[in-house]
Amino acid sequence: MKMGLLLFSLTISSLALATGDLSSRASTEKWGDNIQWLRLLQYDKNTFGGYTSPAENPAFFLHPEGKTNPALELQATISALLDPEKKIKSKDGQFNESAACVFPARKLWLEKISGQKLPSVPCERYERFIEILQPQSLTYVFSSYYLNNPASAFGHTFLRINKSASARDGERYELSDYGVGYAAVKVSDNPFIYSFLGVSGLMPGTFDINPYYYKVREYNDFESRDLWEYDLNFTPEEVQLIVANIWELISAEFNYHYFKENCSYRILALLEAARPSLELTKDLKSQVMPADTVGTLYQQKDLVKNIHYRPSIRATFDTRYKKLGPAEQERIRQFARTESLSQLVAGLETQQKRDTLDAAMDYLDFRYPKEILRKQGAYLFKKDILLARAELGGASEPLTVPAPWNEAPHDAQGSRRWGLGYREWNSDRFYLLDTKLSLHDLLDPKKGYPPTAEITMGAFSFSFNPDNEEIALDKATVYEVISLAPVDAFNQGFSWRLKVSVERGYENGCTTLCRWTELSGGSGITKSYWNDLDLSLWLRATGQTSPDFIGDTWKIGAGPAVSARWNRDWFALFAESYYRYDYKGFEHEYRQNTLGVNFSVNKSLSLRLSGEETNSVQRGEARLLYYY
Amino acid sequence: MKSFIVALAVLGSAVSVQAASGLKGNGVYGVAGCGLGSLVFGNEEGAMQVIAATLNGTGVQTFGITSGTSNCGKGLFAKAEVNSFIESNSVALENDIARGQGETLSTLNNMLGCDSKFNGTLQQNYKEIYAPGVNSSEKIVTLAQSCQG
Repeated sequence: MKMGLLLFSLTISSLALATGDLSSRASTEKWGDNIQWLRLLQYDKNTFGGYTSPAENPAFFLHPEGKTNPALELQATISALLDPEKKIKSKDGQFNESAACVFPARKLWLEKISGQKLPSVPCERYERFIEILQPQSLTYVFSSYYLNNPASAFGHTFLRINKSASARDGERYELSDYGVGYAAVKVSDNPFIYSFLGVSGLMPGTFDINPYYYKVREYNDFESRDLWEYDLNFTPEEVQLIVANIWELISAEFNYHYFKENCSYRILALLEAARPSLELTKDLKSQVMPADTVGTLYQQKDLVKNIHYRPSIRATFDTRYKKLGPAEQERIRQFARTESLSQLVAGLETQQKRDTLDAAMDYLDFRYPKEILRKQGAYLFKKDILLARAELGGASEPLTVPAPWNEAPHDAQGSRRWGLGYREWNSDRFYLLDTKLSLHDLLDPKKGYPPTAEITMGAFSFSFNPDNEEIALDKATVYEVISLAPVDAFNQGFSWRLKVSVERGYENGCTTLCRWTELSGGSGITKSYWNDLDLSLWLRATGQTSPDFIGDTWKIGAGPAVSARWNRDWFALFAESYYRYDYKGFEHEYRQNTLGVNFSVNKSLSLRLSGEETNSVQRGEARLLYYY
Repeated sequence: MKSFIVALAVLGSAVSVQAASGLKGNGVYGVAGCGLGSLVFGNEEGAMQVIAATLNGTGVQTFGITSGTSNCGKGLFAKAEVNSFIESNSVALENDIARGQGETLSTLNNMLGCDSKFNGTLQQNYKEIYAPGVNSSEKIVTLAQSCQG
């Protein structure tokens, strides 16, 4: 008993010694300023000195001033880690665990920097977490652009935690891996509230973790988006630290900022925390585009080991279709028109039957994702195909879908740009300066971007007129999307466009230059030839308002348009002719012809020439564009 | 001003945000077993969010739940997890079974401890597994007992 007491007091005093030792070392050696400590807690440098962590949940900090004081937080962390009896209550009050179980990354880091082992504590939940994840390596995943959902128009990125190979057969099963994402918690379905909260950063954001198969089913299959997977070169210790940090951050809460501190930013911050020599977030622009972050990672020395492509259901179908013989292809095209099974495979050889039924399944999956997932409508019809295929027996040959390297996001040009140029307009001369915050237009080189779409957000064009020394804002495009959805045997979808802008011009019944606000849109049909020529027929509608218009302050009208676009490698051309009849406004007829050509010199430089004629007002301009 | 508000709304909805899943378990398949939930439609389909994955809420809770308070047991792939894999991957898995091959099917085999011979078994039993009113995952798990033997 005495012995026990002695041992007990010895332990206590050695612990006390350790506490004193560690905390004094922490302050003399300034561990609180250590970059890895700052990054593990996601501290940001304040403009006027000091640090603030964006984590909002008070339980994330052990010291009352921890949010703004890394050194005090470190001291509180040291004493909590040395005292396993001290319990920390989780956010929902469900769990009451030692600091070592709540903050395993802090513990790992402290052990590393001090060279000292900290008391080991059983952590049932955290150990279970590691047991389920079996973390071996990491992959950064980019989910490609999805114009049909405005929330995904810029793509999305997340991290995949890769398991070790299966003990059974030594194979890797990626579907059993886990994906870690950072996302906004949706608090409202109302787009106005949603937008306001998102832009102002008032929406909460949290880390989430799901089996990778959810992501594959959602992106590849349901939304038909390609996934690009970048295997990262992290050591086992770094992976361990990242996973531990994820565990800590899962229970923290942040404010989600659409433009900067979004899905991609927080994931990069995680990677930086594990390897202090990495600088991933420092040079990021004020808006973080998911695709740009892929480029940032790719440019790091020896960080990306391998790139894999995981095809969308549409790409899978296309490959299956191309492998068919001409007779079977005709069957599939007919099937897409009639959706009748009876003529699909009758009279074909067994192998041809298999291939044709396989293609028909994928066709229905990409054409009717919602009905099929909900086991309604087309699903009931698809059942017959599945049954016919199963009854044929025999395994289909594994399918390899070739990666469309031209669309890979890591090698794309920057999503922002500057422009300098000269314009002649209605016999006036202007020098031009313009800037675009994002993303990609129909004349930019296709590489790494959606090949048939334009997304512009935040583009501003300023002009200087040397004759009257006037500086003016010529055009502010808040938002412009043009989605050319080429029609083929399997896609009957419409092309569409939408624009919100403020513009200046001589046309529109202004006596001199005047400025108006415009909201316009359109719907059309596009047909593609040789992959690079897109011809479209449109029905467009335009609404414009300005106090400068003669007579009515409103112009509202609609009419047809035709457009042609050629875009291959370094050369692109876009031409459009639009006739509009205004039922409200000064002039009733409005004709506009535009032509633009783009010569891409390299990834960061283009020369662009454009001309426009609008109701006999002519404009011609030349610009040099710099992408970054 | 009006046009500005409209513009702001469009602007806001167009940026890169992935709406996280809510805490609801009101999916088409209901909440599956103990662990990984099911593919769930949000209350409102359409522009903002078409599909969301939920794990009886969030990942944290899953790990909380699987560590003792549920019926899942300790096994990494307890029966309930196989069930939710089958349900969450139902479209792809059904395709694979009909084709007698595929990534989703081999992942399932790995979970069940089966080898590729099981592909043929499932293909031959396709009609029974996916007959109306049959609990497909239960049927698959029952058939998988042959793998252990």
